[in-house]
Amino acid sequence: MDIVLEVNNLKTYFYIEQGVVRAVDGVSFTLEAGKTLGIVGESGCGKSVTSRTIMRLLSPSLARIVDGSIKYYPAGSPPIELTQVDPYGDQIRDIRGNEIAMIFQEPMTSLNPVYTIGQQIMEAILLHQDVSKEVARARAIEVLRLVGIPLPDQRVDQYPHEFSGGMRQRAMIAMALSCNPRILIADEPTTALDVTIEAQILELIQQIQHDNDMALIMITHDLNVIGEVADHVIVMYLGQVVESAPVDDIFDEPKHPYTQGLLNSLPMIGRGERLEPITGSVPGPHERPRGCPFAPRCPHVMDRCRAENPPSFTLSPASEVACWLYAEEIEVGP
Amino acid sequence: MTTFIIRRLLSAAVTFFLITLISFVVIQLPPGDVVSNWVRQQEASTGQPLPPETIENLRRTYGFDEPVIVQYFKWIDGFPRGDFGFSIEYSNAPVADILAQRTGLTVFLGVATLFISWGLAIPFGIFAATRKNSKWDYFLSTLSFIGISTPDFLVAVIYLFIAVFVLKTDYSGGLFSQEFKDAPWTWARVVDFAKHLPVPLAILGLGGMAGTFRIMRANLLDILDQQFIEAARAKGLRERVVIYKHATRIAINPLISRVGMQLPLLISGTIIISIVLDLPTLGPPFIRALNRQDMFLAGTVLMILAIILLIGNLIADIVLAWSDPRIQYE
Repeated sequence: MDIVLEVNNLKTYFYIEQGVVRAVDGVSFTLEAGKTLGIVGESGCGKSVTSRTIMRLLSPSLARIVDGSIKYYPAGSPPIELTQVDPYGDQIRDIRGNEIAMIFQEPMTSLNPVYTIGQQIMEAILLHQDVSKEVARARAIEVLRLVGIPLPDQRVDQYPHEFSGGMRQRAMIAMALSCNPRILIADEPTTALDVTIEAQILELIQQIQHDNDMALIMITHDLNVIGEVADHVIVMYLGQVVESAPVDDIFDEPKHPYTQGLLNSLPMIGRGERLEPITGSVPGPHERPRGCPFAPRCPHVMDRCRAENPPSFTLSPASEVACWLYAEEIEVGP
Repeated sequence: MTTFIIRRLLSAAVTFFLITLISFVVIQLPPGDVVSNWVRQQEASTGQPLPPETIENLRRTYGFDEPVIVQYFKWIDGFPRGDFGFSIEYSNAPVADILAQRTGLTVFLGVATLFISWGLAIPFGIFAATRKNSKWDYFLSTLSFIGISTPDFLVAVIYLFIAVFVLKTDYSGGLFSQEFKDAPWTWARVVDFAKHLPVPLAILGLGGMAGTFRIMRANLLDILDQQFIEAARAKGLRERVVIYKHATRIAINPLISRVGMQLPLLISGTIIISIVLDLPTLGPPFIRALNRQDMFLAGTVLMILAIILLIGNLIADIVLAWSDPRIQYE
């Protein structure tokens, strides 16, 4: 087991005029080289904030890491505590794009419109590697070929508006891969794409992950994507991890009522039953319930749920669930 | 690119022709003309009505008895020879002589003002946008709000007051000392000019700053919210590189298209400042000519403004096409 990233009880709060938004409220997971962690949840559940906290991309004047740790294990050097680094400092900038790279949801807007694709890829290479412009350009063409862009030596000089959506996402992936990162964070990389393109992009990401023994964090609201790529899944609701389990367990025997609800509301070909949506809607950031965050929408809600937020119960070495339904089944740790 | 410029020049020529025609006709539209204005003035000073034959004679001498369209073609007929008509207001002096020096100074002041106001407004805009909702941002935004809501003639008077009474400069308006006003360009005159320049340049420059600052700040804030800025940070780029290379480069584009409109605005928009500060720009003779329906003079100034507008827009289009690859020449 080769751990590259370890997140423990991470809490990121936003301090805005209307009060405190507890966007990420106690998230823990470990990420191994070559493996994929899926983070799934509805909009506003804190999954994107988690990834941006790891990259330290959030403005310190707005978002504060109030608790927890993010340990990054570089190859052959001591671990780095990412919560402690200066978000504008050299240390995090050496990691960003170089060791931990990120691809974003909107391929249409994640490339700068006034620079060529090649310029934008070369920028990252020249920043992190001590190579000449010619070498960087050759490397840019190479990664474009790798992500399946036809005629990469011509496309390299084109601007983003000359690329289609799928091609832009490929270019973004090429940019993220240009420095051979050890961790790739993909924040809804296929949400804005057609399903056929989606399948191609997911396949591409997995293939590259396999070739480079890269760890992948796949952030999505789409359980189908999770089923496709993830090894381990964490399900988030209102900033908290409600369930953490291997992907097969999530689909075969989901434990948390929220995970069950998500699966029941998933349309599947061949399943004749009506879809069962989760009742109610996600509460706003300031109407957070006192006990379990899911209590107001939960079909199995008990009095205890409204009063006390459940801790994570370990059901097996690899799976945990934060739900009072499982309190009797197992011994609660000290 | 060349075809684009040629096409733009051709369309500019047509626009130019239409502008001269329209401005000439518009000046003629109100009842009365320069002769009746002159006659009224004469009658007021002498207390005697002028004989109708004299008035008729005057009209004939100046060609005002002919249809407007004929007068127009007679007027533009002289353009290739550098003859833009004459001004009755300025004792029949050729328009070209009245405006020659003023045009040069106006363009000089306009361009210099543009450089000053942009050179300050853009860095301030970047400064405020990157410190959104900080004390500095509020301070600069409030200042620009005051700047934008104060009429510029008042600003001129206030600045003049500050320049003279607070900073104790001996500036008393104008761009030249009395002895150099109509002198030919000599070294001494250049020195005198340079001595007079700072105060009006500061006043004109500060006047245009508020608007440019606000546009720059708002544009940059928009761009900084875009996904590609976060993507640039995620690459590991320095914040400075993200701000200048990735954000400012794009945020500045709407300002480039504004240049085209700003150049003539600096001339027509600063007429009152020019009067307050006694600056030898095109403004004062323009307003005098319009008051008196001195149509050759007014028409020529309008035409110069139109040409500057056309040139400004052409430059803006070319620079924009060069700066933003999304803009097509076709």
